[in-house]
Amino acid sequence: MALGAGAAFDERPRPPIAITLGWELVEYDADAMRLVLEFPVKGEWLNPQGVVQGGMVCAMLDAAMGILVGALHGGEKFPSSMDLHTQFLRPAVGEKLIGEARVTKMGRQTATTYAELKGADGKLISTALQTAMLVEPRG
Amino acid sequence: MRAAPQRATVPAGDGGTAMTDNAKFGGGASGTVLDDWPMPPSADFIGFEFGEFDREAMALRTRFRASEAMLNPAGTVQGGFLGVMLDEVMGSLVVALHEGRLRPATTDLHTQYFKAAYPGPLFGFARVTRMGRSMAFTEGTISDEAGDVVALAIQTAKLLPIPGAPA
Repeated sequence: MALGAGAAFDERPRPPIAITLGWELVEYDADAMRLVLEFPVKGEWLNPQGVVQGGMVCAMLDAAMGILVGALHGGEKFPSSMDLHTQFLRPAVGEKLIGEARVTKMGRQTATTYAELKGADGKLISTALQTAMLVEPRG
Repeated sequence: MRAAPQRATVPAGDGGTAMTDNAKFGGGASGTVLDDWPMPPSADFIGFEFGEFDREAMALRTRFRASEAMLNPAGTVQGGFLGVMLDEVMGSLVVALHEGRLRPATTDLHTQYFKAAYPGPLFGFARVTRMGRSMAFTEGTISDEAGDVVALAIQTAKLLPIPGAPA
């Protein structure tokens, strides 16, 4: 699924993290400022307990929030994360994980976002709050 | 030397082997129980290497390697991957202090990002702020080669027994 006209991401090459995390876009709603991604669970992300390592959960939540904010600005501005607070509620297990990001407040210089990571069964695994500075891409 | 705990077989999502059999977590040089543990996949991915473990100070230094695969569209390391490194250095410290009997299950990870990070060596530092019987409170930093802190985190974790660990 493409982000749609105006999102400015559709024609851009996928950044390295898109290939690393391997996400698929499930839903993008510009009016509701909401975006849903699906992530495959890769073996190289597991900790010794066989659970997706907590930092990897952060990487997925960060990706969902980052793409949403970038898409809402039509690629003219990107979020540079200043603060990310993640709470871990359940072990991240299964073959795929669903990340949903929402904008809490979009300012001129700062984006405040919220994200949830759920399992394929819909159970909440992790939540995150992020504060990001809005920066213009270089070049 | 205590025997390494038995661990369950880990299902690998992409069909690969979950544990990197030919690498040891502590590399034989950390002086901790982790020396004999296989490298977890998540640690291997971020180029984890033990530095210095200080039991008295309850502190650990590690090295990491950021790769091209971690870059966002701005060409810098995505913040989440710095979180992976922070989680790894803080978690390894707690496991080392408990000699492999207990592991931290993170409930909270709060990260602040100070500076952009690029592919290459990065340096992790973690210390315990408070070790309770059932909870561990830790803080950690990731620094670059210039010695500047690029990210800082505080972590709260529940201490859980490791199945098969020595009593």
